[in-house]
Amino acid sequence: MSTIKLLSSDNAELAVDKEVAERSILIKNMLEDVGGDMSDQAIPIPNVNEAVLRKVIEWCEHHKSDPPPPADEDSDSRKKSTDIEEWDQKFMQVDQEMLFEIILAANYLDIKPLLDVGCKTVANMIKGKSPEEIRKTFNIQNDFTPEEEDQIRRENEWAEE
Amino acid sequence: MDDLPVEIHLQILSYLDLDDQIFASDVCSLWRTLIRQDKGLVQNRYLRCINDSRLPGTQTHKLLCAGQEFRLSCTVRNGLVECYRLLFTTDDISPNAYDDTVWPTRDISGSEFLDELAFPASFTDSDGEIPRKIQRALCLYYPSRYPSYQWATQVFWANFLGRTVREMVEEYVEKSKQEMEDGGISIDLLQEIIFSYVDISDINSQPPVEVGSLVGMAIKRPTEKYRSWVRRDRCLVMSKQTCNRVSKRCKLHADKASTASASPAQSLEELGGMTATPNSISTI
Repeated sequence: MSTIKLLSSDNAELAVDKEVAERSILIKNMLEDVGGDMSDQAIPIPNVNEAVLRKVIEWCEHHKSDPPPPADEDSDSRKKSTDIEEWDQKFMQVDQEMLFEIILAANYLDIKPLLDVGCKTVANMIKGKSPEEIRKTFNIQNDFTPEEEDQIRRENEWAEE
Repeated sequence: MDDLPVEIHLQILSYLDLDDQIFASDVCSLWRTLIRQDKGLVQNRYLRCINDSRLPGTQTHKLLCAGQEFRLSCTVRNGLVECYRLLFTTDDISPNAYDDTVWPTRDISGSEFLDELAFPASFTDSDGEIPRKIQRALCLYYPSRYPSYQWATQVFWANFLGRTVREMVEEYVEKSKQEMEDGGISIDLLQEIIFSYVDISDINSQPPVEVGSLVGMAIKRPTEKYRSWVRRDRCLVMSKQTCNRVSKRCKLHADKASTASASPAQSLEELGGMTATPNSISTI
């Protein structure tokens, strides 16, 4: 089993099994491009810091023998499931900043199953909440223009008197 | 969250079902735009009820489909819809168990989702579908003599393609009101209507006929518990302006209906085996 090295944005060098690292399509393609032998040279991952990269590697380790995800899920109108397997649920119990960092890293490194789990986790945090609660949870600015605000108020006039 | 690229916002929102979409669209302008305009997210609000390749592409707005975690419930006063709500229950709804039950609700009266098409012709229209007849039946069950709960049934047919959910519901209520008045039943009985939707098809006829049945259950909520709940619920208070708007709209529908050649009311029995009974509603 060959090992490769990854270099995080804050210059930490992490050794990873090639097989594990290849959960990332970005890294997989990169290795194919250079002909596979990267044993003495660390691959720079400029967008991901050490803490996040370790977390991502932890996920890849656990999921290294997963079957490849089915090609393009058919976009049926049926409700998409937000079920998350138990291990992944625990894995995603991190603070919000880390959660979004993981999502961004999964997006950048092209690890679709991890990206899916991250997005499902956020979706589950949205469910059952009012707009105000959602804004508070994620610290989202209410950025509606006065016209839009007006429209929302009008829509809700049913509830006022 | 602000740092996430749009496609990730889109993916997150794609996991929300209709009830959460409604609230997410009032969070910020990006979400509002995405939820209203992204084709995939719009499609999330529709369900294909009939799964038969001979009747392809038929979609029904989820607000009208039963068997989910919510149902559309309308509070009605004097034959006008006062308030649209999502009623969260997967319980079987039977009239007898019902009059005392108060489920969690969310007011969605102002939601633009009510102004979306109830039955878009199809999302994949062009590719040579079998021509088919679509009929939608509105059935209303209501207790004709409270408290004995004798059920009466009225069915009316209309072509609801091109109509919004709100237009359909308002027409439905208007027609129900007429039916009740014609039948000598006090309009006061119409206090709340809970919608279920049954898709029935007759694939043996040529061309295949899809008979959709929108089933409303008109409920008189007679108990003190319910009445006090209604009084507390401020969303039941309608502003004068809204009241005018609603009555104008109802009038418009009445005019439209009288100019169009209105198909005669049919009884459910005439549909032969394709009937929905109060019992079958509860098993949807």
